[in-house]
Amino acid sequence: MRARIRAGDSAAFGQLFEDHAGAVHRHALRMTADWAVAEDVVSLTFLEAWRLRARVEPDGDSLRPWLLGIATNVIRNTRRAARRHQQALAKLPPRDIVPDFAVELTGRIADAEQLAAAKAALEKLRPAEREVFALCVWEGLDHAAVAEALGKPVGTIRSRLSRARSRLRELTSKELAAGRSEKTMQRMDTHGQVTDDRGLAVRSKKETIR
Amino acid sequence: MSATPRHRSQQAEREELAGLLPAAAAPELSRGRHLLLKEHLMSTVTENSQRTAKRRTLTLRLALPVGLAAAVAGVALTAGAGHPAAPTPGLAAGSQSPVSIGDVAYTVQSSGDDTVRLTVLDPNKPVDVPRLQRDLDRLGVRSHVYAGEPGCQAPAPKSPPVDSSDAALNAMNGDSRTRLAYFGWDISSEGVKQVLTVHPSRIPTGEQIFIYLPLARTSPANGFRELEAALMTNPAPSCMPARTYTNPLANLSRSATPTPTPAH
Repeated sequence: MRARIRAGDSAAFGQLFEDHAGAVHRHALRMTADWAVAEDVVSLTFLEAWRLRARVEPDGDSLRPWLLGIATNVIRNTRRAARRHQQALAKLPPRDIVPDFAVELTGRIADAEQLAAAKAALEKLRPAEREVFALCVWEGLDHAAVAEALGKPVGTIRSRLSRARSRLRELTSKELAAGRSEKTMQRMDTHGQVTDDRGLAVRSKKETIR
Repeated sequence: MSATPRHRSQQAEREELAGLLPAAAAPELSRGRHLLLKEHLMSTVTENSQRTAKRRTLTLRLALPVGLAAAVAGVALTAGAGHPAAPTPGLAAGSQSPVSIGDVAYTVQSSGDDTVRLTVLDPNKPVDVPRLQRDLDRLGVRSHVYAGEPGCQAPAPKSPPVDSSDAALNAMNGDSRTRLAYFGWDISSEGVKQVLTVHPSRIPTGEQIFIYLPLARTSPANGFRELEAALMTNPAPSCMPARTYTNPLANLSRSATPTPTPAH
């Protein structure tokens, strides 16, 4: 797969999109809490991946960390990435601002609130910690994969995570002391549910909200 | 990608952090949007490879890691030392009446079923261009091999009309075998080796394969680098301009798009 991507094999690129567009979209959505922007990030990430295909290391496992690393850069600097792919973006299908199925609307609104709340909390971290946190905790990449994605040493990833943890602990205790806002309580409630399968825990939570 | 962490401590840490700030449920991209975005990407990607592909000029920018390139060079040297004209063992295993000729830099192999393969064994070797031309002629590939010539002002070759049928687009999106079956020729890579495959009888009358080695004279040590191949209509250009060699590793940050040397 890596060799085919490096060689610019378009079929392999299609497969790459099939396999990882969902994860890139989820990451973008959680980082931006903006449905339309997240779609742009998906397009830009794969356009960037195509441009940078020669940089793919010949050996390694999944290309997901590489793609999420590109997505992180795109999110950090959407405008620059958009300028680079102006021509391609001009042909992008119109944005999906309103979800395409009305039946899903109520669910989407609940999701949107939850996304916005989580993003607001994430923004209390420093940008560098934010990225590491989202990739490691929300996307489930291990330290080495996050290091690969961000092009940083594993030690840096570890220390950023530990700073994120101290900061979050501090914030949590502050919020608890400051009267326990309802939203925070909702988030705190999930604490018990978060076991080994993060995805499942999240899904069950989504259903209780709907 | 498995979300399973390598170490239990990482898992514990992740759980604790997820407890402090759980991920929001992220609604999935609907299938329709997914396909729309994919279609957009693929059209850009194919267009991108068709800017070359429309002329069906395939350029090889070899960006081998230095170590790997050196290793390949080493192997080719050992295999070819003393027997520059010897058939490469292993490559001659085609069907019917296989013919394999070449030197340390390349082999040309005919497998007897209207398939001729030019395999670039080592892009970092000088190429004997007249000899490559003779080898291709001998195996019935109507082609013109150009070594980039300093000072050449001839215009680029003319390409046959663009085939923009759905079948052509599908073939472009397919693997090398599909492209070969549709177009009658293709460039692909096999590991670190680049291979130009041609079905000689499928090359239309009045057209021939254009093989351009822009560095063959100006930088013999990179003889096959930046090889371009295409189908061109006659009359063929009398010469093709030379390029100077730029280290592809230094170029990596600027994508795989060929950067032509500014003409001064």
